[in-house]
Amino acid sequence: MLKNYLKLSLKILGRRKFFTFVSLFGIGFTLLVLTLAAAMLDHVFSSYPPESRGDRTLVIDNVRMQGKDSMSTGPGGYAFYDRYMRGIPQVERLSIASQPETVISYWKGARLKSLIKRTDADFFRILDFEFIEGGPFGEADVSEGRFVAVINESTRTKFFGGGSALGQAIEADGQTFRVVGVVPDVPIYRLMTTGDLYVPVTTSKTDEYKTRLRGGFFALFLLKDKDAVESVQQEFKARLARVELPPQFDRIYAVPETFFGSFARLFIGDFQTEDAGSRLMAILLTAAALFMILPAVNLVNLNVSRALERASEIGVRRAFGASARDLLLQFLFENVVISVVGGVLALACSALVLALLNQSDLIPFAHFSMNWRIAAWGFAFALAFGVISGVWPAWRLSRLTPIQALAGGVK
Amino acid sequence: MIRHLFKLIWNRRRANALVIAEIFVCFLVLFAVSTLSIYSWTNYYKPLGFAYENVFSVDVQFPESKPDAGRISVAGTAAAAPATPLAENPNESRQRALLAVVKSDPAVAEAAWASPLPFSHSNEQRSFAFRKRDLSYSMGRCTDEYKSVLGIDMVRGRWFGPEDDGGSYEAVVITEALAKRAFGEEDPIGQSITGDTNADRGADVEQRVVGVMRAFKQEGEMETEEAYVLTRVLYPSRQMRRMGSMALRMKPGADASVEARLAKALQAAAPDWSFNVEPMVMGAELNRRLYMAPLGVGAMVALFLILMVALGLSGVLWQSVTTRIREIGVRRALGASGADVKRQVIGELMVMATIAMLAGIAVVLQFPFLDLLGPVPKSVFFAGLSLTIVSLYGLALVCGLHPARLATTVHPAEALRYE
Repeated sequence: MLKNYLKLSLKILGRRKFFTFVSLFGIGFTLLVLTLAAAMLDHVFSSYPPESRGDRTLVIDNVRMQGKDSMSTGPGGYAFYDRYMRGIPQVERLSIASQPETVISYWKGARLKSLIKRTDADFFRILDFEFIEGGPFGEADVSEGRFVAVINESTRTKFFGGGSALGQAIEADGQTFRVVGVVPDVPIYRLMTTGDLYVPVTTSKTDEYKTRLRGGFFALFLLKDKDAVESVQQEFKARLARVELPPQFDRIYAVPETFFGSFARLFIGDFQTEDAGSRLMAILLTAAALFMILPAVNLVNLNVSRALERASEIGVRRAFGASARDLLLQFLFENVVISVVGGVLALACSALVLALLNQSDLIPFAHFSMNWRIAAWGFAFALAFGVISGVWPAWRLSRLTPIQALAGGVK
Repeated sequence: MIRHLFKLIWNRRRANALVIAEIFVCFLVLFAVSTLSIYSWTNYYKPLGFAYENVFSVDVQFPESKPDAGRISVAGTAAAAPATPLAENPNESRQRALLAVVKSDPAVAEAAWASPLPFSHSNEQRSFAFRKRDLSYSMGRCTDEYKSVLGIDMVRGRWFGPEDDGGSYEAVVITEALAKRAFGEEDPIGQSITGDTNADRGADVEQRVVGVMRAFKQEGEMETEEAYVLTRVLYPSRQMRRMGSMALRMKPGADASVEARLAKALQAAAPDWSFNVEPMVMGAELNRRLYMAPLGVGAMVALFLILMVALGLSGVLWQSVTTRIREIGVRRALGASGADVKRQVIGELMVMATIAMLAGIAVVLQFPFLDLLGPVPKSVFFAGLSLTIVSLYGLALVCGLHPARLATTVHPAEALRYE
C-alpha cells in the first residue's frame, strides 16, 4: 500500500513543475537552515576528537557564588578544583585547564596572536590528542614549572614554516617555551580544548591563581565508568558545602556535567535546576518550530489550492469505499514524502555550505562536517515539517463527499 | 466595489483565510527585519564621541586587575591577597612608572590609564534610583590624559583635570543622552549624579558632573548604550588598584615594530605582569564583524523566507484564477473589460493583505503599549511599521500581477465551456 502511495506522490511531484519547484524550494530552504543550525550546535557540544572520551567526561566551566548582595558567575578558580575536588571516588582523572587567553608574540618582525592554555599533565591523558610530532609534557614538567609547550599545527606553520618544531624555542607574552609536541588544530568553538599553545599551569607569571575560587579555569573529570555520573555529581554537591567562602558570599553552585548542560545552565541562568540541558533543548526546539511556521503555512496554502486537481481522484476512491481516514493517511504520507525529498536536498546543500564555511576563514580551524547524528536531526525536522504542513490539507481533502468530489467542487 | 470584493472574499473564506494567515506571518517577519535594520542603520550614524585611529590599547594583566571575587588565603602566597580591600593602591608607583615608560617612547604622543577601553567587551553597568526615577548607565574610569588620547568630543563644560584635585567629590563627564535623561532641560554642569539613597549610590563620594561629551559609544559604531559616564581616577585610589589597561595616542605611522618595542619596554619594567599592545582599529574591525555577521545571516534568512512566500502566493493566486475561470468568463461575457478583471484579482488580494496587516498591526502595537521595545525608540518602531506596510503591499502587488494578467487572457466563450 505504502509503495503505491509513494509511487503516486512521486508522480504528482512530476505533474506540475512550477508547484513542485515552489514546494521543494520552501521545504529545502527551511530544512537547510535547521540542519545547519543543528550541525553547528552538534559540533560545538558533542564529542569530537580530541574529546573522544566525551561519553565519560564531565566538565565544569562556570561556577556561581552568591551572597546577600553580591553574586559572581564565571569560570571557576584553580583553588576551587585543586583544594576541594580532587580524589572523588569514581573519577579516574581530573584536569584543571585555563580558559584560552590571548597572548602576543613578536616573531621575526611580525606580530602573532595566539591562544594559550595553561594546564596539567592529566589534560593530555583525558583528551585524545594525536600527536603529529613529539609528545605531551608530564607531571615532572608541571611540578618543576618547566617552560615547555605543546603547540598546534597552525602555530607550527606560523612560527617555523613547514619544518619540525621539536626542541625549538617559541616566545609568547615575554616568556620563552621549548616545544615538546605538536597536535592538530582544535576548532575555536571547542572552548574546553582549543588552544594554540598548551603550557604547564606552573609557568604562570605569578602564583596568585592558586588562591582563587573563581576565575580563569575549567575542570575536566574523566569518570571510571559512564554510569557513575550521578554518584559523582552527588559527591561533588556534598563537597560544595565544605568550601570556605569569602565573607561576602554564603553559597556556591557548580555541577560537573556535559558541556551542553553546562552551557545551558549559564544560558538559562539557573544554577540550581537539575535539568538545564533539557530546558535549553526545549527552547531550541520551540524556536525551530516557530521558524517552520511561515514555510508551513505557505505549503499548506499551495496544497489546499491544488485540491481541485485531486478532486476526481478523491471522488473515485471514496466511491469505491475508501474511508476518510485512508485518504487522510494517504495525503499526509504524500506530504511527508515531499518533505523528505526536500530534506535530502537540504542535507546535500548543508554539507556544501559547511564545507564552504570550513574553507573560508570566518571561524578559525572550523571542522564542520556531516555525520549520522546531524543527518538524523535533518530527517526528524523533515518528518516534523511534513506532518505540520500536511495535516490540514489532508484533512480538508479527506472530508470531501464523493458527490462533491466527482463534481469537482471545492469551495 | 470594496464591499463587493469583501463578499467575494467571504465566499471563498476557507481558502482565503489561509492566504491571510500567510500574509500575517509574513508581516511579522518583515516587521522584525525592517525595524531591526532601521534601528541598526540610525544607530550606526549617530556620533561615536571619540576617534580610535592611531590609538593603541594596552591590556595589562596582574593579580588585582582580575575580578577579586573569591580570593582565599593560602599559606605562602597570602601576601598577594589581603582579605580586606585596601584604601590605598599598592601598585601606584608601578602604574606611574609604566605610564612614564610608554610616554618616553618617541612614537607615543599621549598616554592614559583607562578602563574599560573601547572595544574591550567589558562593561560596568550601574542602575539606581536618581531623583526618584530609575537611571542606568555604563561607565569607565580614566586619568586626565584620556581626553587628548581619544580626542573626546566635548559639548558643554570642561574635561576634568588638576583643578578637581582635593575636592570632596569625584569629577565625572557624562554623555549628552545621559544629561538629558537625568537632568532634562536643566544645566547639568556642577550637578551631582549620585543615587538617591546610600544603598544605591555605588560610589563612596559625590559624583559631580563637570562636563558633557557628545557621545561615547564604547563598543563602536553599533553600540546601543547611549548613557555613559567617564569618572576621573586618582592614582592612590582603590579603583586605580584594579586598573588594567592603557590607551596610547600614537604619532602617525606606528606599526608592529613599535608595538613590539613598547611591549618589550613594558615587560622589562614589570616582568611579572602581562601586556598586550594592540591597535584599536583591530578591535573596531572585530566588533563590526561581530555585529554584522548575525544581522547578515538574519537578513539572508528573512529574504529567502519572503521569496518563498512570494512564490507561494503567486502559485496560490494562479491556481485560484484557474479555478474561477468560469466566473471570469461570465464577467467578460457580461461586458467587463480585461482591466476590470485584473482590477478585481488584484483588488481582492489587496483587501486580504489589508485584513492580514490590520491583524499584524494589532499584534505589534502591543510592543509600545506594554513597554517591550527595550532600547528601540518609538520613532524607529513606527518607521519600521510603515516600511513593512509599504513593502508588503508592494510584495502583494508583484505576486498578483502575473496571475491577474493570466485572468485577462481568458476568452469568454472558452471560459464558459471550460471543465
